[in-house]
Amino acid sequence: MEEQETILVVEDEQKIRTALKDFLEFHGFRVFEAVDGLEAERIVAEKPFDLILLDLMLPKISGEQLCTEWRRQDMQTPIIMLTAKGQQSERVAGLQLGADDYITKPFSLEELLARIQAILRRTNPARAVGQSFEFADLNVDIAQLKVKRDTEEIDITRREGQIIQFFAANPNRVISREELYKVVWKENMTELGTRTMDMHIAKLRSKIERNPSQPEIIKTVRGAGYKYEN
Amino acid sequence: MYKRLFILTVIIVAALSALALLGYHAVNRWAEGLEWKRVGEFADVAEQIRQDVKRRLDTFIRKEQNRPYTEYQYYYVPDNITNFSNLSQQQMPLLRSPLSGSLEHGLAYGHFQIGPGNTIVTANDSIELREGVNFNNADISAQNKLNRWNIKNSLLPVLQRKTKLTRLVVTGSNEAKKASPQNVRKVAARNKRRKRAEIMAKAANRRSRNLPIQSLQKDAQSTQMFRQSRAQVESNISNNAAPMGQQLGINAMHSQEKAAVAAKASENMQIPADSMKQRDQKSEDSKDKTHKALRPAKTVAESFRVPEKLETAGTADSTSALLFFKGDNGKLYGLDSALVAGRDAQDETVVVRVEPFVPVVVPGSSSDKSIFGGQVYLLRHVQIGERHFRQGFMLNEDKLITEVKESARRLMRQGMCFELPQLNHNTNREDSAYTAVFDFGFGDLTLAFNETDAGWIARQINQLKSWYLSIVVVVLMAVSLGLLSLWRYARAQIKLAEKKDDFISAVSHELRTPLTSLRMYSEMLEKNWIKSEDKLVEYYRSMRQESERLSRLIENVLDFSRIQKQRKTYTFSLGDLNQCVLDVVEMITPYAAQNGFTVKTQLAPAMQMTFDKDSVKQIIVNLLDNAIKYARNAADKTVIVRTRRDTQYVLIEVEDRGPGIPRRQHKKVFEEFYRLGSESTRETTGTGLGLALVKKFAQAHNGFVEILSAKPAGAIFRVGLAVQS
Repeated sequence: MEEQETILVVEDEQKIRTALKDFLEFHGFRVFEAVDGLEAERIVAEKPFDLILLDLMLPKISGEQLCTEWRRQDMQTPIIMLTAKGQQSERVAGLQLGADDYITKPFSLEELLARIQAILRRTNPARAVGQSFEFADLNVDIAQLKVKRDTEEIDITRREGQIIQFFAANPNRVISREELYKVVWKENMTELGTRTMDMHIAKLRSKIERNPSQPEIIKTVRGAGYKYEN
Repeated sequence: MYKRLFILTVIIVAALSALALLGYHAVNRWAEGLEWKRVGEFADVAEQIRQDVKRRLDTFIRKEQNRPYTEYQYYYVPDNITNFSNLSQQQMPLLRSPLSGSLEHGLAYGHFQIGPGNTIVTANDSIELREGVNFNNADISAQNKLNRWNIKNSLLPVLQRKTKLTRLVVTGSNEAKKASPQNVRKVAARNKRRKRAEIMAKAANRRSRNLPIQSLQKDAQSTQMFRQSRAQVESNISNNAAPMGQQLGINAMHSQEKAAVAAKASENMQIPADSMKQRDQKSEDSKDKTHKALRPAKTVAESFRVPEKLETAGTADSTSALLFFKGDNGKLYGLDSALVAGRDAQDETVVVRVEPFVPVVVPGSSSDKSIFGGQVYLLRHVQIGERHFRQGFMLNEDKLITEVKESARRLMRQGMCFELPQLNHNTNREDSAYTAVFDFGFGDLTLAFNETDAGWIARQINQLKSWYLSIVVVVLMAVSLGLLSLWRYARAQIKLAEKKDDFISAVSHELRTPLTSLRMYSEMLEKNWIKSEDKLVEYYRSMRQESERLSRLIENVLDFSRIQKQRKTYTFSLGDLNQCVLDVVEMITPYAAQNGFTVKTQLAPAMQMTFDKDSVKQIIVNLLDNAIKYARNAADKTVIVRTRRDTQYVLIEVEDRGPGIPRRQHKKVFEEFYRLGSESTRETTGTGLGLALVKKFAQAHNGFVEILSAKPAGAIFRVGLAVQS
C-alpha cells in the first residue's frame, strides 16, 4: 500500500487552518497542525514531514524565523509559504530564506494542490512514477522490487528501486550526484556518500544494462552527473 | 529621512560653530584694536610731548647760541658802539653781563668760559668784590665757587684727557664720531645694543617708542661768523682774560697791587674784591697802566691751539695762506689766514667764529643720581682772531625734567597718567601701558604712561565677551531646541509613517485572511471536496462568520476614514442601551465561543438614553473583539459586559481575564494604528483602529474611555457616555 505523505500546516487563523486540513486530507495527505511558531518548531523537531505549509505572520516565532532556522539546521523538507504579504520584494525575501514556493492569500485550493504535487514530485520520485512503470526497455515493479526485460526477471534492492524511480521521474535531465544522493539517501553529499552512490550505480548498471561497461540506460555526463534518456 | 536630518543638523552645527568661532575671533580682534587704539593715543600724546619739549629746547638753545660770547664775563663792551677805532681801551664803555647775578638761566646753569691755560672765567666771578657783599651775592658767590670747582675738577680733567674738543662729545656730529675709532666702537656697540633692544621691544611689545629730540645736538645748530672791531675784541678779551685786572684798571690802583689782586683773583678769587663804587674813582693814568699791565692777551692768544677743523692751504707762510673750515652744511669756507689771525695791521676788525654747542657728559660723583649718567655740559668753541675759547654751561637736568613733566601734565588726555621710571626705581617699565623714550642724544629720558584706571579696557573687553558668550549661548540653546523639535517632529513623522505602513500591512492581512477563508470554503463547496454533511454546515457557518468579520473590518476602516475627513455623522436617538449590548453580545457569541470564550452580561436596569446606536454597537463590538484577541491565552476565557449609570455618565465596561495592559500603554492603545506586539511575530491580529474608534465614538458622546486593572488579572475598558438631556 502506498505510504501517505505528511504535511504540516502552520497557520494561526483557525478557519484557514481547518479548511486546509480538510482540503489536504480529502486529497490523501496526512495533515498535522501548528497554531504558532513555537508549536511548529516543536512538532518539526519530533517528526519529519514531506512538506510544510507555513504562514509567515505567526505568533511567538515568525514564519521567516522558522524557515531560516530550519534551513540553518539543514532540514531538507520542502516549504511552501502561505502569506498575506504579496509584494514582489516580500516574495523574493521569502524564497531567499529557503522556501521552495510562495503563495499569497487569498489563493486557489486547486493551484495550491498543483504546487504541492509539483514539489512532492520533485522531491519524491515515487509519487511521480508510481510503483509500477516502464524504464527504458524494462518494466519496473517497485512493490515487488523486480525488473523485467522481456521474460527475464531481475531482483533489485529498495535503494536501487528508489534510484530507478528518481531517474524515471526526471527523464532527459542531467542529475547531479548531490541531488541524487539528497533525494535517495535524504542526506547531503559527503566523500563517503560519493563512493557509496558510485558503487550503487555500478551495481545497478550491472543488473539492468545490456553492456554495463557501455551503459545505455543511465549514462554518465562527465563533470555533471548522470542522465536517463527516454 | 534620519540621514537627511543628520546632515542638516551637522551643517547647522558646523555653520553655528564657524559663526561662533568667527565671532570670537572678531571680538578678540576688536579687543586687540581697542588696546592698540589706546596705545595709539599714548603714542600721539608722547609725540606731542616730544614736540613741545623740542620746541622749548629749540628756543633755549637758540637763545644760548645767540648769546654774545662777551656775556660770559662780568663786563663786556656793547656791540652798538660805533667808531671803535677812535676809542682807546680805557674809553670803551662796559656793561654788566646779563648772566651776572645768577647762575640759573633757564635750562642753563653756571655759564663759564675756559680760556688759554684752562683759565676759567664766569660772569659771577668776584661778584662780591664788584657789587659788594650782600646775602644774594654771598649765595651766588658760593654757588659760583662750587661751579668753578666742578669745572676745574670734573670737566677740565676730562677735556685735558682729550686732544680734541670734538672727541669729548658723547653725542656730537657724525663726522666727529667717525674721526675716533674708539668712538666708532662705542657708537657701534651702543647702536647694536639699541638695535637689539629695539628688536626685542618690537617682538615682545609694541608699547614702547624711541623719540629723538636733537635740539641740543650740534647738527641742530649753526656756526656763526662775524667781524668785530679789534678794539672791542681786545677790550673784551682783556676783560675776559683778566677780570680783576680790568677791575684794577678802573680802580686806579698801582700796577703792582693790581697784579697781585689779579693774581689772587685768578686763584679762584680768594681775596675780597673792591666795591663798584671804587670803579668811579679811576684815573686816566691808572687806566693806561692797568691796560698795559693787563695785556697778556697776545700771550694767551698765542697759547691757543688752532682747531683741527681749520686746515691750511697754500704755502707754509701763514700770512698769505687761506684758512678753511668746515661749516655745518659740510661746505668749506675760506678765510684769509691773515684776516683770521688779525695780522693785517691795516685791518681794524677781527673775525669771530662761534661754533655750535656740543653736549659733553661728564661722569661724576652725582652720576648715579643723574638720569644721563653724569653732568651734562654744553660747550661751544669760540675763535676770536687767533684766540680760542671754550664757553658753555651745565644743563640743568632737574629743570629739563620739570619741563618734560610740565609738558606731559599739560598734554595728558583723560584717563592717562605718567611716571618717570628713572626717578622712581619702584616703577617697572614693563608694566607700563606705553613707554616713550626721549633720546636727547647724550642720554635718554623715559616717560612711562599708565592708565589712571588700569582695568577699564579689560573690563570693557570682558563685558563685550560676556555679552558675546551670552548671545552665543542663547543662539545655541535656541538652535538646539529647534533641532530637538525638528528631530522629535521627524521621529514622530517617521513613527506615524511606520504606523501607517503597519496599518496598511495589517489591513491587508485582516482583509486577506477572511477573504482566504471565504475563497477556500467556497471552492471546496464548489468542487465538492467535502468529507461529510457536517462539514458542509460548518463551512457555511465559517463563511458567514468570516463575512461578518470582514464587514466589521471594513466598517472600522470606513468609519476611521470618515472621521479623518470629518464626514462621520451620528444619529442620536432615544433607546435602550442594554438592548444594544445584548444585540452585540448575541452577534459575537459564536465568534467568542469558537475562540473558547464565554461572554457574560451584567446590565443595570432602565438604561434608556439618547445615543447613536451604530457607534455604540461598534464600541461594544470593538471592545469584545479586542478582549477575545488579547486574552486568548488566558486561563479564564470569560468576558463580562457591564452597564452602569453614573451621575453624569452611562458607563459600559468590558472586562477580560487576559494579561492586562501595562500602565504606560494605557494612553497609547487608543492612538491610531497602535497595536501591542511586534508586526512580524504578531501576538494578535487587528488593524490598530478598533480602540482608536472607541475613543472617537466616546468623544462624540461627550464621553471618555479609560483602562482599569481587573482583579486578579485582566483589563477593564470603561467607556463613559454623557447622559444627554
